[in-house]
Amino acid sequence: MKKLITLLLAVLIVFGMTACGNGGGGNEGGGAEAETIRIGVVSTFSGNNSGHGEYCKEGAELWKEEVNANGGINGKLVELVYEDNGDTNESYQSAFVKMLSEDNVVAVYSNGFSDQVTMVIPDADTYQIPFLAGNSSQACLNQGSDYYWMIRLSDAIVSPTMANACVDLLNMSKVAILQVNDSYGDGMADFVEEALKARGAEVALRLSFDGDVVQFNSYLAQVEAAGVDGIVGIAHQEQCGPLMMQIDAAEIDVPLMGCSQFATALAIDTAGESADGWYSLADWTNEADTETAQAFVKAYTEKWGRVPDMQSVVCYDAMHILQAAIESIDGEITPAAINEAIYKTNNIVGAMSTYKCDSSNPAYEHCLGQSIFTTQTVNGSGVVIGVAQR
Amino acid sequence: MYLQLLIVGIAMGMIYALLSLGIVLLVRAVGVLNFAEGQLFMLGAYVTFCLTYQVGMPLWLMIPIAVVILFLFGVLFMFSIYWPLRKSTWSATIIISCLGASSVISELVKVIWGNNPLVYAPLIKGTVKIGGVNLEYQYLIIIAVCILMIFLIQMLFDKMYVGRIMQAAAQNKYAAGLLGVSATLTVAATYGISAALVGIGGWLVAPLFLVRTGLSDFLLKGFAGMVIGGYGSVKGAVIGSILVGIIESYAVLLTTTYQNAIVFLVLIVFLVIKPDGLIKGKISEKA
Amino acid sequence: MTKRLLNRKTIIGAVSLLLFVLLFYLYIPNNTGAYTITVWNSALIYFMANIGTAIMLGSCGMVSFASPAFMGLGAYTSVYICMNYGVNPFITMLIGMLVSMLFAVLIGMALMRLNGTFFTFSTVALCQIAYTVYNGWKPVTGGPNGIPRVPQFTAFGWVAKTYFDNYYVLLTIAIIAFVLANRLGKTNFGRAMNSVRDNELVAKTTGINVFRTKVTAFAIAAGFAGIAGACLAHSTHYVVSTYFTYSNATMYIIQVMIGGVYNIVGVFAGTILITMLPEWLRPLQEYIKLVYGVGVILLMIFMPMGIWGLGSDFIKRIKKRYHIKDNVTPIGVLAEDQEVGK
Repeated sequence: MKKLITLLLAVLIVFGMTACGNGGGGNEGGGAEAETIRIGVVSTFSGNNSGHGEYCKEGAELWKEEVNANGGINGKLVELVYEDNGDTNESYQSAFVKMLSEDNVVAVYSNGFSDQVTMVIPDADTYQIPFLAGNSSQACLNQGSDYYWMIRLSDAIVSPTMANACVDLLNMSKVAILQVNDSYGDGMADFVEEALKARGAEVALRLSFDGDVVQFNSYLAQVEAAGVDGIVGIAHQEQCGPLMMQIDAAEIDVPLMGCSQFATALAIDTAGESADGWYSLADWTNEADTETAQAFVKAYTEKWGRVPDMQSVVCYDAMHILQAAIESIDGEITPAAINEAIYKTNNIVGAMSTYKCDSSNPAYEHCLGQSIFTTQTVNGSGVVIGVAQR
Repeated sequence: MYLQLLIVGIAMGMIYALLSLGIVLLVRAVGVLNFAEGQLFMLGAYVTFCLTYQVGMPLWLMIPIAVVILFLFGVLFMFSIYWPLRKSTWSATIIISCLGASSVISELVKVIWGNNPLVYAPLIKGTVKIGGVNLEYQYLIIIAVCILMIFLIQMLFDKMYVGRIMQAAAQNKYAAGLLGVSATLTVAATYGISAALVGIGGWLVAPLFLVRTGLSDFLLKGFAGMVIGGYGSVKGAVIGSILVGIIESYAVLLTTTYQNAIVFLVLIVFLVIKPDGLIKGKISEKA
Repeated sequence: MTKRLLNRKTIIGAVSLLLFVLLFYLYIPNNTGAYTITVWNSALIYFMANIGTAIMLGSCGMVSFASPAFMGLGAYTSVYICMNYGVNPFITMLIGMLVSMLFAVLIGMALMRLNGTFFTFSTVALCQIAYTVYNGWKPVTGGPNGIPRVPQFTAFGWVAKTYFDNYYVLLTIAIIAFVLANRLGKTNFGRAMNSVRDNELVAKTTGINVFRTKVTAFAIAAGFAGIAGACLAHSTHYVVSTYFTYSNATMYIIQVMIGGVYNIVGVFAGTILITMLPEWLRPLQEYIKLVYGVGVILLMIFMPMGIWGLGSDFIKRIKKRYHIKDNVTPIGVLAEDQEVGK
């Protein structure tokens, strides 16, 4: 009797589950594929980082509106499909596989964290669907996948630029690196350390902290004691604020160089006056002075009533790259054809950078971005002081 | 640099102490390790932020009102999380419902105040130089408030009648009931006080670490401090927390990659070698 | 005993088992997409780890947050041996399990001297330490980048390439784990654990070595977690420190409690429910964790024995109503009737 009840319960759950699976598949629609181009966006819409997802979606929606207003791509309207990747790595993979296997999309964009992207690149290979990602970890490029595309500049490319800026612009010779201890921070810090050493600067200290740490005083005491003449910070958006505040409070008066997160609106807003004087190598700043960048900021602000974040602009540009790739296809629009077309990406002007697939260097072939801004925070906004080409 | 690290460690330890004081109160009264205390800490930061910036109250008015709100929330918390489960002989049920409550509070806060961290201006801007370290004035306020809290709690439990009643109820519910002490009231009051206490802690650290949901992560360090100091002892909790702060601070010299591991390793060693903690509490564990 | 073999109960049991096997091996994989299968896969992996937690909690009465730590140990051991010495994943998985158990014995000998809340908190600390080590020890664990392209399950020339292949592998391992855990409850050792849970003093007077029983239970729990961790690594082809965080530990505990700790079937139901919940409640997206938290609190208040507890309550009521006498007390009901804990 008891077993029977349990069985019934289990059967119920199982059927509920499969029904849900079919329900999920149901929205594919029968004939819809023929008329629209479906592009997938996997991002975080719930949980701790849902802010990323919102910005990302706004960027994508802005692009969709522009494209569809002009009659779509090659006469076909664009449809965006979203999947929420939740909080954990497992849920990220589920969402990603769902997008690839059930949502009938021709390409996928995702702004997952580096370790998550690393995890799902083999899936993109399996399903042979081009996967454009908003991360910047060299480890992902090193996997040598055919279908993975990096929109931003890889850490390995940015790092020498950062080292040059540190040495030439800020005259650092003895540097302390403060890094967050995750895939992003660790990978980047390795490259920066190497690049600094190559430029003859000494890395006196390299201190790492977890992603949830917000008190840096004991680290800063050590930085002070080491007598460095420059600090390089690599941290998450949420940590940048407290880190800048505490460095300011500790009155450590040396030039400061941060990763792109230090130039984000969130970091600058939370740090207040303490953010002034930080240099940053930023993929994006709302003060970017190119024509396309200004046009993007204007359109975005008008549409959403707030200024864009890096997440929105990377997504927006990724969509532009896809658009160009799809436009260049003569025959049927298939994932494989789009992937082939992305290989021919050449000088597409996006809001953030120009994009080009450079096959002369196989290690960076899948890294499409071409330039990065050097900014300094002045009075609460990131002023562009230079554009470094790759 | 050793002196600097010591000072930084003590300052951080005081922050953990704010949390472990709240935890220790509940341990004394009901013998429950409240896994949602970190969220109450965070809630304190949000409530005070809301009263100060969104309602626009002056400081002198804001603090009492915040304390009342947090106290009431603590009572509500007690009636929804602890009270229905008080008869349960499973410590696991209360732990799980606390975990559920922590998720509820975090998400509610996110729904109301959004995901992005908020800025709370410090009471006094600027820094003070102590032993070669520039410390924000906020740390001095934290230390002062912390000492005041310890004093008040000691007063409450040792000198005042109400406190003695609470203590009696904690030590022997049955006997206290015979004497006409309502366990419901004392437990509710304890939860209220605990919530107000850690809530004020949250308000104090907000200018340093921003008003954000991540503030609840301090909880584990508060636990560690309480366990090292002695289960159920107010003084022990403070001393233990300061010790945790100092260990954490000096751990940086050894390794930054494994800093977290060192703190918890010390904790486990302490637990195994000296399970009673540094200062033995008035009630030892009942389980 | 031979007569018993053909009574009604056994037949019902055998038929339901057969149905179950058919359902899981044939119906589910043929009626779900690749995505749903990935969700099933993670549910099966969690289930294996949760068996361990349930043994600690339901049988031994101790709340342990340590399962991610041992999952990590199993996963990294298996992956390390597999990738460096080219050993078959099925074998390295067992090595991973053994290593987890060995560590659990060593750690357990230190931690089992603590009781109740202290033990629980020390497992939280253990979980934190393990995560920090997995995140920091780059030469072995790959640090925060993890180890990509972990070898797939292979046996006799067959390679588990797709998520469906993995599903069959995981399902088989999970069924083995299920049977083992079920048997364990009926052995002398299982009864020893139950008596330790119900009253340590009584257990001691009846000649049970309480300390050794607890350490053994901890090691068994670690073994299940180790297998689960290795399965996680080989089926997702990736292993990284963020798989093994403290917040995962809280999720596992909730899964176990929701299902009901006294019965492995309950644990299974709880695991499936919590893993699938986010999929079912997709329209709620933003509020899902809120709903989830409220649900957990309500569950603890109204049915602290979880889904299984509710089910058996229901059965008891029906039996009372129709005056059915049950001469064989099933496992689970026995435990709920008794006062537990103090």
